[in-house]
Amino acid sequence: MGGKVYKPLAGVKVLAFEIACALPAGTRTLAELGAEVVRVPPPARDVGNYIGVVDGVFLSKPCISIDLTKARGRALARQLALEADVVCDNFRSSVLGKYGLSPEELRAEKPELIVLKLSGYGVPGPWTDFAAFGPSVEAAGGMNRVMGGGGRPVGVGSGVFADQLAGRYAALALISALRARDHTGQGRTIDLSMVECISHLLGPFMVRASKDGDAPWGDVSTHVPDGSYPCRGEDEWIAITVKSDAEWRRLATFIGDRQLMHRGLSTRARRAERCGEIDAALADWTREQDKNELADALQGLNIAAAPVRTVSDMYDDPQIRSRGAFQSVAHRSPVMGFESHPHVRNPWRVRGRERQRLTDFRYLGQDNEGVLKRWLGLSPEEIRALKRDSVLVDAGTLEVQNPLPPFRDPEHAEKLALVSADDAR
Amino acid sequence: MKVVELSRTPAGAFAGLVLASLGEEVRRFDLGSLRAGPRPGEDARDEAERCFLMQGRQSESLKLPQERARLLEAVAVSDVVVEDLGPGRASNLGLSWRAAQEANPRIVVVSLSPYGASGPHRLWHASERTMQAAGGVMHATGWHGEPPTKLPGNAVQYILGLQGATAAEAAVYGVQSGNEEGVYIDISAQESLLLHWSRHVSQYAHSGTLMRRPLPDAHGPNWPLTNEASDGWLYMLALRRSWEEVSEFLGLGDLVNEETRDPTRRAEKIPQMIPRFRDTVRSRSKYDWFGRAAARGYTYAPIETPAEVLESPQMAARGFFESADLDGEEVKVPGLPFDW
Repeated sequence: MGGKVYKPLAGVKVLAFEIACALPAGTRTLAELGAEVVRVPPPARDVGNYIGVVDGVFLSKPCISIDLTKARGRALARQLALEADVVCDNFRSSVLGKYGLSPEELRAEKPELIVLKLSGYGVPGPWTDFAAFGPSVEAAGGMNRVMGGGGRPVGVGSGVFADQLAGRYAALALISALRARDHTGQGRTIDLSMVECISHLLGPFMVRASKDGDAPWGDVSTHVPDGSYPCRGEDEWIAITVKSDAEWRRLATFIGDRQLMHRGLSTRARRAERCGEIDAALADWTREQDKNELADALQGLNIAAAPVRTVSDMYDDPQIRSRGAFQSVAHRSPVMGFESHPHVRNPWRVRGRERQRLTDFRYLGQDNEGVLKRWLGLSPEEIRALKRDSVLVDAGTLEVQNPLPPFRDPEHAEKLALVSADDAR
Repeated sequence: MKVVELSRTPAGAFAGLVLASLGEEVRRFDLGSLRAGPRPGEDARDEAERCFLMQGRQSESLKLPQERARLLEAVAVSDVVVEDLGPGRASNLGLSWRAAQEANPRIVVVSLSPYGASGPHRLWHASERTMQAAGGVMHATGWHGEPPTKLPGNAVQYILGLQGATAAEAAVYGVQSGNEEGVYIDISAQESLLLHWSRHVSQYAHSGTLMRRPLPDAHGPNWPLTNEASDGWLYMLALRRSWEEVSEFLGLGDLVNEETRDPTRRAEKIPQMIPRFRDTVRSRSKYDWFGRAAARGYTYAPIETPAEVLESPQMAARGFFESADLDGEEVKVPGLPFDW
């Protein structure tokens, strides 16, 4: 603690008209790299946004709120946009254009501006205006089908997988555009499609389909065995992958199962013919064992194995704790009974540098005064006049609603304290 | 930007692919088979994966440590090195952080590995599956009563590669803008994937909620989420829309009554209503439902096969797919998901 903070994007100003998760995930990365990201949410949708707060994608960003339906609001937003290095949005495709904030209008006045639009299906195209969120683009991008089995698709159990992925690509696109701008002096207009982020991740599946048509359901591994096997406890699992015949011999010897050792399974090809039988035998063996102890033991044999982490034991993972993957973020006032909560940080560890600390989420309009003063040099009187005329909206608070979860862990408060203690060290 | 790519796994190769797709000058060194130490991840699965990953740059073979001088010459004239050889391996082969800095004080080194370069599991053996198990997402993916399902292909290694490409761009921007000096960046697959599970782990922290794999017949706030239309599967969650509204949309308005308006009583009745619902969904194509739902602002989507994605009119309009050669045959490969 106390070392130099890593801020490669120091001095970069980002104005983000953002909602939901995907773009906010990307701009939070920019904020963690030292950029000043000012969040402009749609006024009616911010209060009580449980998911937005819980996700942590709004952390580390000042928040302003401007009524774009008013002429003075539009003029103010335009002034801010022209002050920025980057303007980005994930509102519906027509929204910013309606208010005179289209990429063409902004870049006509400031060619070096970088403008990014993020949407479910991208612009142009016949699906451009179709509503989408993470799970729908995972479906349309091909993911659910290639994960499926037994003739039935499977969804990703994340809720924000596609959002975070699109956020990663958005951060990449914006940083690359900043670098290009510093060489050419020219900005760029970028249109990012969430569904294409999914299909890009499935590149080899697309190549195979292009060559041979669709494969049968399921994602076939090249290793045998390669699976998740039950362990002691409710819904506890270990993942094991045997990558070579030598590893198989070590595993079979370790298990001490004479049949597994001698049933003619010494080559991958022979094991592939009987993988169902092998999986059943392995499951019988793992069922009464502790997933963490077993993973340690198999690692001792140089076999790839890892406990399948649950949401509740992720915080206990020794590697995650050792690398400080979570940071406890203190709230100005308690949220759902806690004065702080752990959030996942940017995963880059830079030698000799500290990571920028995440700061608490800000409610609608909480930073109107600070941002307008810093970016546009407005006086307190001018800002008061904008508030008086309702050009600026100030929610004054942020209420978080509890969506009544279906399963609850009675020990979670204790585990939360554990994370905070790690973070304080 | 000039990039030295030292990749043995799909993680480094994906980083190289992304950087090459951005127009960066990527020089990929093929290290062949290295004797000591396991491969820190997976091999490319087949020729199709190699075709996808190796686009946009040439490979040149390099024997290390014998040809260390050639590598350092490349480092001296580059902006960034992206490597995925495993913790300590680059150093053992003659490319320590100090050696890289001596060759080029402004160099950025991005090191990609399953668990990172520090911590008690840094040298753990890893596969795509075990990295996914350690990073999350997998436990909540699949069906209740069945083993957790992994994400497809080498997804976590690609996600790690994407982080690596972004870290490279950001670090070089930092150097060129004068904000930073050359740096060594260490990124793990485990933490990279954890970010994609941020909602569930954070929701647990906030409320103690344990996310579980659903029952195959589980239904969302409206109706079951995945259903068969006449020509394939359809994802059917209309976000922030009521069961009553969606039922009217589907032509099942007669099922809306005082009893079914009550969520508790409706839950009891749903199993009896499901067969008619399924028949209704099967009466139209998935694209017909998709278009009709979109007109109402619903977040439905066709569940596409890869071959259907290749034919997507949306992606065709955007020019998403490009051509590549695979064994003398022209195939389609996806480009970057943003225009560049």
